[in-house]
Amino acid sequence: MTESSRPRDTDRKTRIHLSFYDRVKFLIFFTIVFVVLMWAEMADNPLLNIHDAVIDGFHKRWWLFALFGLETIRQLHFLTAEIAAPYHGVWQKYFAGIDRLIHKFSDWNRYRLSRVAKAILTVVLLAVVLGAIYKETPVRALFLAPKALWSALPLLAQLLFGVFFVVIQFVAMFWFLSRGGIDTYFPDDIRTRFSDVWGQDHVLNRIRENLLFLESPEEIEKHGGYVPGGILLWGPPGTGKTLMAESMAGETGKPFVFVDPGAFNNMFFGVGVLKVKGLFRKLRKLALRYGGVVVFFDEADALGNRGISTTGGRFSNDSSIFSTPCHGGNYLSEPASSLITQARLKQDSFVAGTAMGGGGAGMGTLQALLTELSGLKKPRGFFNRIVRRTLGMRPKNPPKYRILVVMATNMPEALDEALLRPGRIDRMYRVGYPSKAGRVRTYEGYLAKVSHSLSSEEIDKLATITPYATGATIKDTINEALIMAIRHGRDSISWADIIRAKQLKELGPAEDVEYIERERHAVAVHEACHGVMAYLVRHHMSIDLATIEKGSDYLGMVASIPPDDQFTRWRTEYEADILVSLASLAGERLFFDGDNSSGVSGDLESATTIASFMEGHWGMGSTVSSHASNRRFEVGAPGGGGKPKDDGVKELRRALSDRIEDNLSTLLDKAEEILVTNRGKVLSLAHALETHKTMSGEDVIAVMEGGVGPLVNGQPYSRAENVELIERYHEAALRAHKAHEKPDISIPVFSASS
Amino acid sequence: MKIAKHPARLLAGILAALLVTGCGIPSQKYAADKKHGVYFTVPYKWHEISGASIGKRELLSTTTGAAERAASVLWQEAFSPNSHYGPTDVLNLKAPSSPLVYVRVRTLLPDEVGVVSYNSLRNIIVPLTTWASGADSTAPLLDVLDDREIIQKIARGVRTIYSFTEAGKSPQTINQTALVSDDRSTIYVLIVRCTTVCYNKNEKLLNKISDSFTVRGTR
Repeated sequence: MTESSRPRDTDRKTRIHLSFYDRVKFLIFFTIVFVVLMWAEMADNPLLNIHDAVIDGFHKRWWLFALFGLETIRQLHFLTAEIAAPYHGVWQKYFAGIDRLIHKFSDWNRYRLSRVAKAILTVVLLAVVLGAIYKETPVRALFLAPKALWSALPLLAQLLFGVFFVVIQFVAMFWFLSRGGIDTYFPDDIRTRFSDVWGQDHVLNRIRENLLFLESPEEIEKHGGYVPGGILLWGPPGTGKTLMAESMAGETGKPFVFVDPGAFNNMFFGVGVLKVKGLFRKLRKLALRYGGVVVFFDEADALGNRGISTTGGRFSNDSSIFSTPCHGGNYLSEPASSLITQARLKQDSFVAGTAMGGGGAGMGTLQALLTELSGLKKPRGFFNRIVRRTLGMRPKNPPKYRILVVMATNMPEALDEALLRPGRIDRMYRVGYPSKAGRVRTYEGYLAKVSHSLSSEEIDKLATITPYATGATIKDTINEALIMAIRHGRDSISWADIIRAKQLKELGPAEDVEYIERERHAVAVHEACHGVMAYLVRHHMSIDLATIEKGSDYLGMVASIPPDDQFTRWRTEYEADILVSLASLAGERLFFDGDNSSGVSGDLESATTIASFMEGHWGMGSTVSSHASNRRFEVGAPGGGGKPKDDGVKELRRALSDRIEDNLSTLLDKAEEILVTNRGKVLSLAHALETHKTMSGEDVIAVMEGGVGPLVNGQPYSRAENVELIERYHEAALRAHKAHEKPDISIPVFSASS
Repeated sequence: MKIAKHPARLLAGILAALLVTGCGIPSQKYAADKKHGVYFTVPYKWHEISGASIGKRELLSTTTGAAERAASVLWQEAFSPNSHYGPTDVLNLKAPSSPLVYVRVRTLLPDEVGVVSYNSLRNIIVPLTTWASGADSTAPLLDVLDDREIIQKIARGVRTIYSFTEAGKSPQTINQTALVSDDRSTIYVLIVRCTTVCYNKNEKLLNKISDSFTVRGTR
C-alpha cells in the first residue's frame, strides 16, 4: 500500500476546502453587529418595534450589507475555486502575476511601503471610528480626538496611574535589562583588515569564501546550493579569533553586530529570550536594509549548553608532574604532555569530566537562539499573514535574510551539540597556533612598531624556538622585552632582551633563592643528566634552555622544543623521551653512590605514562592489542593469567604493568650506560649550570661540543685538566652530601683562556 | 430540533427573514427628539413640515413675546398627509381639512414658571377655560369632548379634546396634549387637529397618534 503525503498548496489543482465555520464566520459576525445595532436603536426609541427597527437598520446601515455582500462574493469565489480547477488556476496565475509585480520592488522598499500603508490604514480606521463617535466627518473627528482626550485626561490619568504604576516597573525593568551587550558597527567603522591577521591564512581563505557568498549569494543559489550561514572559530586562547572577526567586520561591506559574551546573562527568566529575539529582529532588519549582516558571538561558550554530558573539562597543565621540583613535564613535547594530562584527567573524571554541562546564559536563552538560528521559516507581518490571507492569497515566505553567524570559543566542548549542527554552524575552523611563517610575520609586525636590533635570521630563529607562540603571546613577549630594554636605559630591543623576556614569560620570575652549595650541585647534576641525555639521544627536539634557578614550582629544568612542525611520533622518539626522563634517576644514583632524591617523582611519572601508552596503546611494545579497546570492551589486557606454555609465549603473556616495568628498567639501564660513558659531559654541564644558573640551548651545545655559546664559553670544558678539577669538586660535594656539610673545596672557576 | 442540527439552515433562515423584512417599508414614521426624550409616531406616508421652517415663520409674527418664545423652542415639527401644508398652516388657527399634527417642546420662560397650571396648559392654544365658563359672550361655540390628566415618566399635564366653531368658519376639533416637566423647566405640547368632519372620520388614527406621545426626558 502506498502512502502519499498531503499535497503541497502549490501542487493542488483546486483550493483547499474551507470548514463551514470559516465560510460563515464573517457573515455571522456582520449579522451579530446588525442585531446589536438594531437592539441599540430600539433601546433608543421606546416606540420602535422590531419590524420597523429591521427596516430602519437596512436603510441606515447599508455599508454593513455592502460588507455582507462582499463577503458573500468572496465566499462564492472560494467555493468556486474549491470545485473548479480551471477557475482556481486562473486566479493563482493572477496572484502570481501580482507577486511578480510586487517583487519588482526590493525587499527593503516593500517593507517601507507596507509600513506606510499600515500607518495610513491605522489613521483612517481611527478617523472613521472617531467620526462615528463624535458624529462628525472623520477628518474633523481626528482633530477633535486630542481635545477630548485632553479634557478626559484627569480622570483617565487617575485610572491609568494605578495600572501604570504597577506595570511600568516591570516594563521598564525588562526593557532596561534587555538592552546592552550588542554593538553594531557599520562598514568603515573598523579599520582592521585580513592583512592584519598573520599566520592563519588557511582559515582566512575559508572565511573570505563565506564573505564572498554573503556579498553575492546568487552565485551559489542559482546552482541549487545555499549560503553557509554559520562559522565557528575555535582554538587556544590568543590565536587571533577575535582579531579575525574584527577583520571580517573591516573587510565586509555589511554591518557587523558584535555580541558580548555577557549579553545573555539574565537576572530574570525571559530577559535572555527577549534579548535573543530583539537581536534577531535587529539582524533581520539590517539584513534587509543592507543586503546582509555579520553577527559575531565572542566567547560563545558563555551561551552554555543544556546539560548534555560533554567530553571533559578544559585541559589545564595542573597535573602533578608539572609541579614537581624538576618540572618533569616541561621537556616533553606538547602532544606528549597533553596526553599525560588527559590520562590524569580521566583518572580524576569525577571532578573534572562530568561536572561540566549546564551553566552559561541558561533559562531558555540558548533554546531561543537555536530557534532563531534555524527555526521555522514562518511568514511575518500583519499584512502578509492577515490581509493577504483574507484576500485569498498565500502569505509570502519571508525573504532570505543574509545573516552570517560567527562564533568564537576556546572551549568548543562546552557548546551545545545542537548549536553546532549544519544549518546553524555550517563550518568549524580550528584557529590553531600560527604557522612558523605566520609567527615570523607576527614578530616582524610587532617588532616594526618598536625600535630593535634583531636581524631577520634572529627573528626566524625566534619563531623557531617559540613553536606555540600566538599573536597575544608574541605581542606580550615583545612588550616585555621593550620594558627590559627601557629599564636598562636603552630604547632599542636586543636579542638578549627578547630571550630574557621569553624566559620570564615562560618560567615566571626566578625566586632568587640561593641554594646551599651541595644542594645546588645536586640540582645541577640532576638537570645536567637531563640535558646531556636530551643532547645525545633526543634528536627530534632541541634544547631550548636549562636552568637551576628556582621558580615558583620547580627547582630547575631543561626545556626542549621541536625544531620543526611535526605531526607523527615514533617509537624511537618516545624511547628517547623516556631516556631523558629516566636520566635524572640514573644520574642521581650514578653520581651519588646509589642515592637519589624525591625530585625524580615527576620524571618517573611521565616516563611511566609514556611507557604505558607505548605498551598498551601505540603498538610499541611486545603485544599488538590496544589497551584502550581492551578496557572499553572489558576483555582485560593480555597476560597476567592462564597456563604458561613455552617461554616465548610466557613473555607475551606477562601482565601489562610487568611489561611496562621491564621496559622502564631496560631503558634505565641504558640511560645509566650512556651517563657513565659521558660522565665528564654531565659534570661539565652541571658546572656550567652552577656557574651560570640559566643557559640557552645553544650554550648547552657549546658546553657539550667545546664551542662558544651566546652566554657560556664551552671551550674550557674541552680540556681534560678542567674536567679533572670538576670531578674533584664533585667528589667533595658528594662527601659533603653524605656528611651534610659544606664541601671542602669551592667550585672551580674557569676563565676563557684557562 | 432538526433545524438546530443544521446550523447552515438555521443561519439561512435568519438571513432570509432579515432580508425579507428589510425589503419592506416601515409601518409608521417615528418622530423623535432623542436629546430631550420626546417621541411619537405618525403614518409612514405623512409629510413632514420641518421645525426650521416653522421657527422661521414664527419669527415673522408681531405678537408680543413671540421672538422670545421662538428662541426658547427646543424641538418642533409638524406632519400632515397633505403635502401642500406649510408652516403657516401650522401656526394659524384655521381649521385644516386634512389632519395636522404639531409637536413643540420649549423651555418655560421665567415669568411662566410661577404661573403654569393645568388650566394654563388647557389654554395653550385658545382661552379654553374662559370659553368653557361662558363668561365671554364672543366665545365661539365650544364642545369639550374629553379632558383628562396625563402622567408620564418625568412630566404631567392634561389632554383635552374639544370642538369649536368660529363664526363663518368650519367647525374644528383639536386634540391637545400639554405636559410640563416635573421640575417646571420644560413644556411639551402635541396638537392634533382637523375639521370636525375630518376628525370624526380619522378619529381612531388621530387618537393613536395622540396616545403615542411619550416624554422620557433628557437622558
